[in-house]
Amino acid sequence: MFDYLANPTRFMRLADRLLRPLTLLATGLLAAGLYYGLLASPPDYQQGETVRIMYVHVPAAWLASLGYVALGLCGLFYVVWRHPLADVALRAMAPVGAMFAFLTLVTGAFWGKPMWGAWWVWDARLTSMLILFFFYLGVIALANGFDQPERGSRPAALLALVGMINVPIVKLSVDWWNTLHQPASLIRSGGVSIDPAMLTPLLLMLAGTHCYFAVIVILRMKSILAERRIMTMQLRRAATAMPPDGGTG
Amino acid sequence: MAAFLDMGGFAAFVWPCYALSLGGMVWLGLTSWHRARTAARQLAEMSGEEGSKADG
Repeated sequence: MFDYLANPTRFMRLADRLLRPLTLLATGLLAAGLYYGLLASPPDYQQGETVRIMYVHVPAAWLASLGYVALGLCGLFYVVWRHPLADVALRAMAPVGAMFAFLTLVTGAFWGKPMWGAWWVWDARLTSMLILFFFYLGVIALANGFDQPERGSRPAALLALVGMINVPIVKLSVDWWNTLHQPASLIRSGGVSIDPAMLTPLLLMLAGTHCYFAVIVILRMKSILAERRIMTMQLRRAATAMPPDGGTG
Repeated sequence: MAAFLDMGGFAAFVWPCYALSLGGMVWLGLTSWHRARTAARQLAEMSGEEGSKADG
């Protein structure tokens, strides 16, 4: 499978085939999620209407964490096997994951103010998510911080790998430490602890944002691959236009 | 309608979350789509030029 997709032309063909159905699926799921989240689901008996923030906050938090796992795997594939598409995928994913980590922090603050009385607390879950956001920024900076883009690939992949250590800390911080943030409600040993009326919009938004993530990553991978081919063609043209003595006169 | 917009007195917290999330997703979607389209168009133009040079 990985060898098959290592060929950029094959990947582009598969990406073109997937893009339209995934876009339609993401749009449909997000529209249904917004309908259920804003109109069809009841307010929570304790949180009131602020429970609706969860329908954008939780999917953003999941994507920030799972996106980083994917980023770390891309880093691993690039560092160990020099997979040609791993670097492209890493560059495509990092800004998308960073945006979701940022949205997690901001929407969490908007929920925290009315519920906890504070926009921000140095809680283990919040702090580890902030660190995850900084890891994303670091990967983006390293990947784009060199004149020749390929020089940034290895450091960015290594940082993506190192940052993987923070992902289980984000997930398990609410179990390891006595935090203000509530424990897991979906993936936990005792089963799902959310009422079906609230679980429906949450699952729809989760599925929709994951499809959206896939669409944006595919679009960005297509852009990077096309830009690399353009650069190769420009270099080839410059080389053929240059006089045989290298233009030194 | 007013009650829906008021969000039980939490409108100032609920609506900015949706505006930021959806705004961010739409912005990222549009910029990614525009970048992909520009790159594909430029690549097609350059490939066409190279093809016509090879033919001529």
